[in-house]
Amino acid sequence: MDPLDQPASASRLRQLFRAGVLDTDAYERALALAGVTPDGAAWRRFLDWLLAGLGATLVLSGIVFFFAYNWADMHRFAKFAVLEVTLLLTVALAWRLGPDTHGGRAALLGAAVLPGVLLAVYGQTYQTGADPYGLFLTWGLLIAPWVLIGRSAALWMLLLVLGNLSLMLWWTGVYRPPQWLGFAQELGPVFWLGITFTDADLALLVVALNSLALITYEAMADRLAWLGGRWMPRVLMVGILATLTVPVMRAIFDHGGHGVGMLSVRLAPLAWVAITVAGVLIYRNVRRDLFMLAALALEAIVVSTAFLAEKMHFRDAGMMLFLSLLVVLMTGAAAYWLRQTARTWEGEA
Amino acid sequence: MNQPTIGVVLSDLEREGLFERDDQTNATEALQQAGTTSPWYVRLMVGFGAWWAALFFMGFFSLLTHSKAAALISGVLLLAGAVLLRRMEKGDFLNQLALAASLSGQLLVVFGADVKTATSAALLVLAMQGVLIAFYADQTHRLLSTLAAVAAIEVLLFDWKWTYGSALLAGLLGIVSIRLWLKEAAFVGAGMERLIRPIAYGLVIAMFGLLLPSIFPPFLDAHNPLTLHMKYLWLSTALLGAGLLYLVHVLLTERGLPAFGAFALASYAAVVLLLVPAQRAPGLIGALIVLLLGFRRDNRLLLGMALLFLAVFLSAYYYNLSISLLLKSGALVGSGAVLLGLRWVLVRQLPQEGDNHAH
Repeated sequence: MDPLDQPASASRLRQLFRAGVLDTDAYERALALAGVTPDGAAWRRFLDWLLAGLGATLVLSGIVFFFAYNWADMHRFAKFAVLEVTLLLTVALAWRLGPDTHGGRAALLGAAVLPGVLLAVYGQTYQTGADPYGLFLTWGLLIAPWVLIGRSAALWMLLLVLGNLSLMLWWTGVYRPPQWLGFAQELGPVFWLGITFTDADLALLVVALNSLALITYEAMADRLAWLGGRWMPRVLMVGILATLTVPVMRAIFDHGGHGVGMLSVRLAPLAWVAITVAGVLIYRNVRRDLFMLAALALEAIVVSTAFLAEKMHFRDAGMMLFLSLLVVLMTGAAAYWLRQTARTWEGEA
Repeated sequence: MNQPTIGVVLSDLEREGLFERDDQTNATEALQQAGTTSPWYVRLMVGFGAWWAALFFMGFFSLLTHSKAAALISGVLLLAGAVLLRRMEKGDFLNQLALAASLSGQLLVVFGADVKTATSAALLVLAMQGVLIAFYADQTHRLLSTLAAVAAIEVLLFDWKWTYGSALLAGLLGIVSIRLWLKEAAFVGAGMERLIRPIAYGLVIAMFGLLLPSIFPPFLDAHNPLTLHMKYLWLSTALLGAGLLYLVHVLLTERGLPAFGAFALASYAAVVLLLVPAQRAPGLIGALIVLLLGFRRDNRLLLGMALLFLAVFLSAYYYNLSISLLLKSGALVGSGAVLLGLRWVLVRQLPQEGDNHAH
């Protein structure tokens, strides 16, 4: 591609200025021509957008606060009515605007969130004593039809998060509660997740669920225009790799372990190898995505460093130096590989 | 926004006599040369590896020698090696090695210098960052050094019990940021962009970092000895407010509006009025400053940071108001209505200046 056909971004114009191709006057004028420096109309739009956005957000939160204030004193039917009327309003708005507008999509996403609130209030009012996984499962089932017709990656992501939460809460709450569950819940959600995934059976199930979602997304992306964005598969990949890290680390450091899930602990490294090989092949050759390759490379560096650290004597000075140089070597090699890959793609484009 | 291509902009400039067609090949070359920067996630991966390698390196040195003098000498040697290595600019691999060497070198110097007080440690770090910012020619490193330098100053202020220091520093960082970002073109022209830009980003991040404690209710407790300086939050608000006034003044004159016309005076009055509810919430003013600076040059990074912190500071502001939920609800609806009303007035009143005056 001819460099002159690239969009005139601020950084490209800066390069021309720095290289002396443009002088100060020409640079300032070029910034204005390219729309980098806003003209009067752009400033007006910006202020308009800022004040309207902030004002509307504040007024809406004020209304939410008003109901929050009166919540305890409201009759239970009034509570349900408030939530259900809001739900109807968002659905009506989504229907009016249609699923192919930003507003319509935002309204439908709002409508998909509200059943969760409604179920929570229902559970609170009637003290059903149901397990928490039930709330997320029911919520997911209730919104599934909207997700199917919504043509929105955000809706699918919400459904997938609900599916993950239902599975994890059912597992840790009903099927096989871990020993440290209460303690982990005290420490916060990140610790809770980490502890949850030390049960390798569950970790592999979660990895399988999200890998299935990722594969489906990539398979459908060419056929469905609304799956054109890359954020959801990228979030999925990061989630899959992060989840897999916990059982893989157990496989490396936890030799004498027995008890539940040891088969999955031994399977986890195989799953990691399979995902890495398949990921590199797919994202290098079929669906070119440098982010995915970078994520896979980082995970490979983490796993192989941990593996070598365990195999060698950890507290030896020479080994420390070796590991340090190894990390440098691997990261440098990964960066080089990524750059070469990007260059090859550019050459073919 | 629909951005024209470089080629279109250059022909427009040529028509206005600001560019010669013969320079087109130079332009192509300049663009090709610089087109090799890695995307953010590759740099993130590289940075992660560097920190990790540096930790192992530190482990190596700490196991190898228990002598502080040896650590100090190896630290200084590592730093010198890192600076030289980075100067050679031989691609990602060596840059990565240089970054790891510099980080380990700095840790070794601090460990080996055997400082006894927080003050001397902070002064040492500060001096080291000064030297490294000047000589270590790397954007990431300069950003990190700027953050480390501000952290060192913060330690000094705590150690000297200058309780108003933190609030003062946050305000000053905001003012210096305004100055640097307004002068961006001059720095690029003077060939100092690679020095100033990472520092300017670092100062903005550091300012937000220093203002962040102001959103946590325990830190707002005047009797908490750790957070005495929170009594002086108004100092940040005053300094940042002055900075915002200056920034609005510059923006108006840049657009060719009279500096003391009716619209300008109304804008100054709006800023001053905003300072009243924001006297204990300087973060709001800081976020507004960065928002304007970002929009002025279509800088997505600054805009993104500003919007994120605006959301954080704004929610914290209403969360921390010590009034009942009912009054909060009223305050939210009221201030929202004021903003919507302001928009209504502003959009109608903002002078319809054409674009003809632009240089």
